[in-house]
Amino acid sequence: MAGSKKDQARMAAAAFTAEDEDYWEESSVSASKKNMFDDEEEGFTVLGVSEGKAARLSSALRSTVGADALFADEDNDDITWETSSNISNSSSHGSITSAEYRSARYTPPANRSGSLSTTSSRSTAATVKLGGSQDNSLSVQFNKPKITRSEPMSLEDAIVDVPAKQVTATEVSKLETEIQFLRRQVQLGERARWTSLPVKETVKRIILGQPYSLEAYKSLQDKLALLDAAIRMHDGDAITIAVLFLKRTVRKSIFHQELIKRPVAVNHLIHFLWCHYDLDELEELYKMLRRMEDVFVLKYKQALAPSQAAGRAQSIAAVVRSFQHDSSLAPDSTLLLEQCTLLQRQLQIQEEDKKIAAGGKHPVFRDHPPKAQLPLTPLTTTLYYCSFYHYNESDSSLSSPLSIKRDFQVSDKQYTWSALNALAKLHRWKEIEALLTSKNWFGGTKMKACIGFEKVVEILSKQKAPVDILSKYLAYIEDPNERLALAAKHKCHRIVVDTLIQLKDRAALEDYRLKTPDYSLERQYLITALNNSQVKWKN
Amino acid sequence: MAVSAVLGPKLPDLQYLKRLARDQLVHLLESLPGRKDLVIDPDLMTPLDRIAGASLLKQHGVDKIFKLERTKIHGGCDQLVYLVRSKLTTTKLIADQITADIRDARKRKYKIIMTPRRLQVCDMVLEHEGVFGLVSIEELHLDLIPLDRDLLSMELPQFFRDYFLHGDQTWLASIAKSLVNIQSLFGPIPNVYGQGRCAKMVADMVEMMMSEQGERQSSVGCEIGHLFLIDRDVDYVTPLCTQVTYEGLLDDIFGIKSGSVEFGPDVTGTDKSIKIMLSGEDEVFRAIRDRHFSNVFGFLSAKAKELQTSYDKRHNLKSVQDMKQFVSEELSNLKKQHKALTLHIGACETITKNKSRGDFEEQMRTEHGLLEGVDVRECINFIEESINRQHSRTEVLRLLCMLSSTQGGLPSKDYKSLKTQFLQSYGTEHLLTLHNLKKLGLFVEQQAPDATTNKLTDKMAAKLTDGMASLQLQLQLPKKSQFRAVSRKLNLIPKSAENFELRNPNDMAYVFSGAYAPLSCKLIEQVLQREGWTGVEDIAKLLPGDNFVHLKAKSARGKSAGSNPDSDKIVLVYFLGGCSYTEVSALRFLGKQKGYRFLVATTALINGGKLIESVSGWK
Repeated sequence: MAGSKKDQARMAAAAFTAEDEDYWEESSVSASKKNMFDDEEEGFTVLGVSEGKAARLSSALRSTVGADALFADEDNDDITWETSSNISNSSSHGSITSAEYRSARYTPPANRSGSLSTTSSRSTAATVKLGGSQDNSLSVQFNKPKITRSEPMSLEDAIVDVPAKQVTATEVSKLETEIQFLRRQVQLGERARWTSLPVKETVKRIILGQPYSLEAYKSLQDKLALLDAAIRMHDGDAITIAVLFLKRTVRKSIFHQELIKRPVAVNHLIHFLWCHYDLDELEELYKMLRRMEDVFVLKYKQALAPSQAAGRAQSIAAVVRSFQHDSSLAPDSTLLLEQCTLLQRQLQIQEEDKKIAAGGKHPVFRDHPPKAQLPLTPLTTTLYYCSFYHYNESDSSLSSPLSIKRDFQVSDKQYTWSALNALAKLHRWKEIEALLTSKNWFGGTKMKACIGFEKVVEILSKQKAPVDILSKYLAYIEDPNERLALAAKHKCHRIVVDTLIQLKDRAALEDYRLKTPDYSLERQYLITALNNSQVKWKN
Repeated sequence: MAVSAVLGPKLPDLQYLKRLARDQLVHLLESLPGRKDLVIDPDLMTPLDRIAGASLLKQHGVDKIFKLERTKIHGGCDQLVYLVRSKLTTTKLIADQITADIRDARKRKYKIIMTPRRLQVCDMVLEHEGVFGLVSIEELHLDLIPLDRDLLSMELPQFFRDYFLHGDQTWLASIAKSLVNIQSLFGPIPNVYGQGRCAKMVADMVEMMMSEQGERQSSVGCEIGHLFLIDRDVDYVTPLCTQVTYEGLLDDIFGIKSGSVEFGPDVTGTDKSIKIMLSGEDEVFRAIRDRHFSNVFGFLSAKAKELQTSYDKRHNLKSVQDMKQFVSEELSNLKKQHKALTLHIGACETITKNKSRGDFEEQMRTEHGLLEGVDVRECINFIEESINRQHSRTEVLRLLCMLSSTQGGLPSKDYKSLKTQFLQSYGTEHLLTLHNLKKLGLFVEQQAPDATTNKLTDKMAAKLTDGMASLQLQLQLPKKSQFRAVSRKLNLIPKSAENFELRNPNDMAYVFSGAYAPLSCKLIEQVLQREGWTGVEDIAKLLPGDNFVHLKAKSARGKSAGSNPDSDKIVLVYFLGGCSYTEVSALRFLGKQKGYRFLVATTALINGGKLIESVSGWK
């Protein structure tokens, strides 16, 4: 035991001394400013913390004591969930962890109302009443002074202990009046059984979880008063109860007429119908309220139920048809119509592609067989798919990316992103060049990237494009500083040299000399530039 | 230690709430004698962790524990206890299971424990399904759960969707009840401020419930001086921002659940995941939780160095006695700190890795641009690019909502174009989500230039009997956010963001890298300072919902015997609809600055992602 601790400690010492003072000095964080994301040379810095430093410190700490040993003493109190289904993946079951409360004592309730006394260190005494209903109210007393008495020998002793009390005349009369009062109350109560309680009282009873009855509210006025009282007292449960009571007990036309005046009641009824899956009734209610957008959304949601593309396309088409005359919903209807068209198109493309793939001659399908189903994917994903498998098809073909761009009015930027990503993944550099070349009126050509050449470089570099390809597009980045940074990052030395010449920064060029490989053409190129007397260096 | 002196006024001990809930749960379990199986609502699993452990449940007769699912429960014993959130859907599920048992001719005793409250609507469903007579129904008053010394949560994330999206007021009574409980424990709160429709309703209900309870015994002194109720829709912008405080980042990246976080193998450096409680009891965590992330790592490395020195002490141990003392006392403490330190540094590492990937820098620039209202066109371009590249949907929606909320809705052309592109990239199904966001006023199209009249119609509508029509109007008219104007009036954007001091901040805006101070917290600061809304009316006018204040006369305040003399400095802030860890940090900062101690209560802890996810209409 002691030996192993010692070993650990020794390891710790070694780990900490190996990284000498410099290390601790250096880890002080550079003063942060609002844009605190300076690119440090040695690594990326986020919010003033360098990744490298964090990694080093954390590994140092871990090695101090074996990380496993460090976390070995986890105090776990996990529940193995029994599941009725066969899902046995433990991570989905959650666990209750507790170390603290194991020793909680339980004192059985002394009587029906269950009073639990908890001793606590609190100085003030507080009586807390929780819960409204008689049966389960639980009163907890803090620090109630315990009557300590020498243990009573028997029950008799305990009774004898109670001091006899003198009853005074005033007390007698007090009791008499109380009896009379209670008698009256009982009579009232008898009668009250068949008359209605004030609505406010009933709502209070609902809120406080006490027994109540709505039966006595027979007149429409009473029913509405009940609903209005519930609304005035803000409790959602009471509002729902009152609105459902009204709905159940009066004619539909009266119900609607009164409901429409009470938006809060409407909200509660709608929410109830949603939770209760009474969707037909909900639809009817929305229509009565002339909330056509809500009807539209409800119908659309229902139309999405089929999990197969063909079925879903059909049900969405039905929604579009039923709303075609509603001009206020035209923009959203159009979106739905496009979704139908897309689903059908995806099905057709997939059908064709299955044949192509089975033929085994198509190089892309052979080398990169599709991993996922095309139907039900978003338009952007479809565009990428088509750029990947069908890039050079004529735009009369259903699967040609250009025809998709045209038919679904895809923006130029979106098209460029999708096509570029797909082509870069396939390393089709020539086609990328064509994609980024635009012809002008006089038949000349010009390189153009609507997403910006810096993004083009980013995508290409992610797909490990060769330096000459990267250099080609780097050159088109307009801002020289941005170009310089990116060129340096991707080690496109010629671009760096050219840019530094453009910036007339001889000093930086000198510094850069060591970054180029020895005896390389790039080094040569740099030296030639340094010797160029035509450049008016700024330093 | 001298910690308590530094912290100023003493906070009331929130652990009482935990004890009360635990005792009640035990009582409810014991009231059904013998062995029983427990079926727990998945929503309640993590919150319950905070109250009772598995062994406590087992001690009180629980045999097997099941998760409530859409399937029948096989096996188990003949007594079944359901512990669930009181919701219609859950109740229906239970009714279905009981009906299935009846069909199988299985005889069981059933008890349903509903929390936080038994709903009459649920009773109705049980009645409707014909099982009412077969079950006994109880309620467990598990409302505010203490997650830390100054943090309470109802752990009720669906409240946001239910109330703000659907206008359902069912949970309000439970929120009010939680405040009644707090006041029975810690004494009546003399001064109450509020902003928002929900805040007002909750305050009304608290008043009703208190008067129903009758006069309180004066034995309870007052320990909390002020209560501030604030609706989430007063400030949507703050929770939508990317968090950059340490605890905020932990929540954004790892997801904090009921105050605990699970670190994966990348953080622990082993092949295991570790779940830890995040609380102020952990010395290391207490020191870094509220810091700006740039200021965390320096502290941790200094701490690591310090720890090393303490470990090194063992070289200078002279006697066996010393050695014994070192091993028995210091070593375990050192080990504990060592463990905490390793985890937090590991977490920093993961956060740094996470944020250095992709375009974090550009994203921060976009958020800051939106907050300040500069270069908005560039911000839109960035969002558009994220859509085109199919970046995380939730992230994109968060930015879209931030754009709309800060700009007071989008010009028609931008709105349509962004909407179309969004649906193209993520699927037309998400029209459902956009519909919800529109209802909430989070992603909306600017209407004709009569935007200023919206507020007026809103106010007028509220004056109609019982707020008639007001909600509907609110839902249908776009709630034109006056973010820019409020931001100016509350000085939310610091003037010199360039040289902002993040290490020893003197401005609350440090929580967002010096770019923005949370609107909610600044509003609270102003109102507390003025003890009311006088002087800030022009700001309040721009916020949704009405404001109110109930002050107890100054003379009466000090009088009640047993009152904590510090109570005037203790402020309970209750966020209705959730609050973010950044807001908690900002309030802690405000407390230090002005000598207050804040207790934060909320319906749930949220961040931008959770907020958006909670109102999504399609998976």
